[in-house]
Amino acid sequence: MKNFEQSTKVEFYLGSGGVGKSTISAVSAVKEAMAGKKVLIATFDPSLRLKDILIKSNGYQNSLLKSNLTVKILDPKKIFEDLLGQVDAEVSKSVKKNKLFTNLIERIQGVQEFSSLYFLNENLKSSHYDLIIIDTPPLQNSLDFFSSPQKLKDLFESPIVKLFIGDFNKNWLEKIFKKTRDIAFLTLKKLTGLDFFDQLISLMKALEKLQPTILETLNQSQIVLESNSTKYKFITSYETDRLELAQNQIKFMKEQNITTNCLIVNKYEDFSMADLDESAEWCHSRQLNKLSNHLEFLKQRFKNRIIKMDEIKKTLNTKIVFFHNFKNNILSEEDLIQLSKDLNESK
Amino acid sequence: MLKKGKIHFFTGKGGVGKSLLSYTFAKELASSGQKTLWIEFSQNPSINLVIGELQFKPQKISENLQAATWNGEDCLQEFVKYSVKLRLIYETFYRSKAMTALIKAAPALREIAFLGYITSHLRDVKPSLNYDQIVVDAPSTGHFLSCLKVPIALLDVSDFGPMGFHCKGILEVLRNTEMTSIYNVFTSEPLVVSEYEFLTHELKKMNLTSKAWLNRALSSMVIQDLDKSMIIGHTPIQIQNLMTIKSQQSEVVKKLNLSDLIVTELSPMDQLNLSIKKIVQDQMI
Repeated sequence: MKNFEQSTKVEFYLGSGGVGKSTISAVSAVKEAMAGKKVLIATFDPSLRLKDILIKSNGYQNSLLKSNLTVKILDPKKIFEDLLGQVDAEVSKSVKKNKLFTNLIERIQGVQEFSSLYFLNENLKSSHYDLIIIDTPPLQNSLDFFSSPQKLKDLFESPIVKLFIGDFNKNWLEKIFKKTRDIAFLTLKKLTGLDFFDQLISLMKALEKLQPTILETLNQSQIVLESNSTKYKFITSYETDRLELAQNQIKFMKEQNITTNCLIVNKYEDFSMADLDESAEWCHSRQLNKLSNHLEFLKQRFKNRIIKMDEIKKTLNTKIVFFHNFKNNILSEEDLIQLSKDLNESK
Repeated sequence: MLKKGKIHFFTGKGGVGKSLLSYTFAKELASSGQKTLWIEFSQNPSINLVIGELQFKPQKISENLQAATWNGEDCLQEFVKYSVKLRLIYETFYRSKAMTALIKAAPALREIAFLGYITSHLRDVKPSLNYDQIVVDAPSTGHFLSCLKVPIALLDVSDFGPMGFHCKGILEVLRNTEMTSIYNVFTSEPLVVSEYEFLTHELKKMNLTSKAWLNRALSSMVIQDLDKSMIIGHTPIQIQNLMTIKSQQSEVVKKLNLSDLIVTELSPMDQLNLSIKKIVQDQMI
């Protein structure tokens, strides 16, 4: 499957929370759209301001963006509702009344990740886009993006499926299975109460209807994830501990046969040691002692970053892009366009 | 006199320094003589940036300080183990593949188990923790909010029965400022500030009070020096940067206008320890 090429390119943006993943992926989408490509970007919850800029009811002012950029904020609840509607109208109706579903569906492990893969597959079918960008869900550990859908798959491949449809008592093994299950269920019912238990079981029964769709999506995704047209971009902020985290995760991904195509270092401060010395001298000559002490401290922190960065450059065989720390807030479409130009220059 | 039995949550946008602050906070609580537990709460534990590898079972760090990483599933196991007196049934429960799959998938069980366990000693519910202070390195804004949403949403499903009982109790503790502090950590960067405002607002909607904690601030001494140096001519780039941070900071402080704003500076560890020591004293009066 390694050589499978789809006409639409796919880019996944990975990284831990707070490193600027949503911003960078939006800026990249803008950049490609400005270059004339049809771009679709899917994201979960960008900051409110970014959302205001990206989701425009009457389109963008810039004509290139207007015709080329499509932004979709994914809503797992909506996706699961739609899927259930396609499979079984009756179940879909009942699940909308299930409070665990309406309030807590996104708390099921793997639901967000599955939603983005499902969305990706659906849009790859149409080949309407040149590029689809997936801003992965906010996770503490970005690698979980790859393991979470598996967890969802495991759920449906485990004996839980048999729980509700299984005709037991066929042989002694199944009798034992049923007995174990009954004791376990009784215990859970006792611990959580009847209301919760009933809602939980009805939710699980509903989700079980999606088993074929889920398995199909995940199999499809496997092909896309391994395709040569799919790129992985890892985003980190420019701090020693975050750089170290990025280094470890990229290494780990490689062990899992996922090659990171690009490491983007956000909030990069491009001082040289000479700059730092110049600042120190500047303070010294003005007898600003407190400021000078503070600079000395910053210098130490900065040294550590440079050392870490050098190590990454040497050990990781990955393209590195530096994205400078932008001082100003992103307030408008214009700001995003300006930043997308900076992203070019950073390379 | 320090008040006993409090839970301290540290949350905020990713990358604002929650882990280091909460850990230092816990360290200072412990050194003031309080038996303290520091917990990293995460759905998917990774190697902790502050103290390396941790487990569910609290490990002794120093005299009064223990540390652990919890993901909720293990809290649930603890709860089932305690509640189901018969070992055989407990084992059957966890041996059932159907059950382990269900627990992994079920929404809300893990969150309730976690919130239930850390509030246990304040609710007189067993199994209960035996610490004077619990400091939680909580997930960042979105994850934290959706975790707190769980007991509220479940009360909607059932406000009686065991689940209703636990949810009510948990919310009572979380909403009681004598028992719970939620520190909303942020920095002066505009994007971080707007997330701070969003989180404060959302917590308020849930009837939860939070405290503002500005981290990585410039000290007033440094600001004085920067003010003195406002002169024409060539200014090195790094000084220009500090000027920007200074103006962002003064803008934020002015805008929020909080009398009880907690501030920690971007400073060497020994200084940070000192200022957190003082914050701990202030907070515990």
